[in-house]
Amino acid sequence: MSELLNGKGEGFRLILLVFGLAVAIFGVASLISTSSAKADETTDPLVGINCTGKVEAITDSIFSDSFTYEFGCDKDISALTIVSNRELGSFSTEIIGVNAAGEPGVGQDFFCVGAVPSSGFGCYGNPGKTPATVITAGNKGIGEFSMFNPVCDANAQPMFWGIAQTVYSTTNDLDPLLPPVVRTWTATTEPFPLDVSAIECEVLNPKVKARQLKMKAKVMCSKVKKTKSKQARLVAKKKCDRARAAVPKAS
Amino acid sequence: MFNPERNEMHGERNTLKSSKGTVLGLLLVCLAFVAVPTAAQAKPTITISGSTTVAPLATQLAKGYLKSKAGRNKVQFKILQGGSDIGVADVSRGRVTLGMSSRIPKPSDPGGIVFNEIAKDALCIATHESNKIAGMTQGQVQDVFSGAVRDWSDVPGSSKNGTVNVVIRTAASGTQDAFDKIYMAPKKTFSGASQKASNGLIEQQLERDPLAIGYLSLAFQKGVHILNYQGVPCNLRAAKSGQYPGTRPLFLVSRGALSGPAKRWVDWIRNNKQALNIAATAWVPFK
Repeated sequence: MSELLNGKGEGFRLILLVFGLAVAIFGVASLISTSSAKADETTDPLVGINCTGKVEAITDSIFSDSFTYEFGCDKDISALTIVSNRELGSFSTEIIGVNAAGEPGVGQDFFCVGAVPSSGFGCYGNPGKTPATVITAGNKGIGEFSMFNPVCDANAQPMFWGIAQTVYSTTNDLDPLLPPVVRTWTATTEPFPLDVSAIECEVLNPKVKARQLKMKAKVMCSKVKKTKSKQARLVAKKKCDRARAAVPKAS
Repeated sequence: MFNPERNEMHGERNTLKSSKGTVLGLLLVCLAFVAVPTAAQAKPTITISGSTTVAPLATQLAKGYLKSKAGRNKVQFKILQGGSDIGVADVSRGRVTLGMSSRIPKPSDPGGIVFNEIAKDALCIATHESNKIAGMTQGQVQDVFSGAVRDWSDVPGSSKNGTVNVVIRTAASGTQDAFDKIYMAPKKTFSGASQKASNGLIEQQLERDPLAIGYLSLAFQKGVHILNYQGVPCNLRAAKSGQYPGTRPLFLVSRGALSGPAKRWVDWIRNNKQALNIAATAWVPFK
């Protein structure tokens, strides 16, 4: 050992050489691995998933407050979540991907799971299946749900959002000296709003509104008898009639 | 200067990591609502999985129960799916509170489970809307579904020519089991038939294929032609009156005797007028 330390032996030079080579190899290897990681990141082809969808009322449903929803994305979708500012009372436990002609795509069926009541539910394909179940780009997933309470019994217009997930692969074959490296990625969209223009409420909280209008009419009409002058009574009566007319008949 | 093997392994590790991430991601997205419902966590939860035939009825009954005096603010539900066999397996392993089954018990079912009937369903033979066959006898159904008759020109009442595309359910399905027992026994369904995992998928197939024939739960009849069976129409009235021969019971399967919130829900389904009305919309109520 002392021979090595005072530099007199050949072994010392050999160790120095091996150590130097090791440093060089690790240095170059780490540079290669950094550059290939960068290449992977820059070659990720996914710039984003764009999805659209809508919610419509089912007029001929045997169940009250039933709605149908559909969504479509420009990438293959492996899972989807629907969320709402309303409580949902039920949802169809399967959705099927259909093409523009309404024909179901083969192997494009998702199962849906969730709690009842809750603000949404999740749907997914069978990840164990080969090929994995996806709703392909351009196709539409169609399903149904029903509200726990009437859709307009709230202080805000109904809103729904979808969150879709896609799984995709990238192959890094930039370096001819390396075998191609296949990487699988998962990407999720930002919540995208579903079009609810077909189900917007003309009157929000109709029962509460009707109760308020009824109360207002009662107050107005009680003033008619209390007024002393004939002219004031006429004015009060007109106001009373107007207030009564504003009360929805059903209430 | 570098070791390709190491880099390949590095790549494999990445793929493995990503696939783990994929599974995790899927679970996160899909089970978020199972894990974090809006209702208070303290409420007991009834988890149900299984038959695609029972699922639409069970979800409506769950909603009805939660809106009723009996169930309001007392319980919450988590709903999954998968087919009758999955529901039976899940409940026997304690994965769910109740399994949904559209078939009667099998000798191969695990021990210790109880089939609680909640309603009856009619199993209808259906074709594409353009193939308006009035009806079939049991013999004709067996001929078509066993593959003995392969061309529509050999099926009385059909205006079609061409190969009969037989569509059946997958083996895990209670509907398939019920069809085998009610319509086919002792014959077997055609091995070349196209197999579908749910009522919805059969309905979709029949809607788009003019040469297809299959069978469906009464609740799935949009855009298809429903045939009479043994001269009896497959509709709710005939099913309720007991005239239609193709009815089968629907069950909520429990591990041991029913107890707690699950028992209260099933009791409500079987006895409450509101629950019986919900069932009567597309199924034959328990009583």
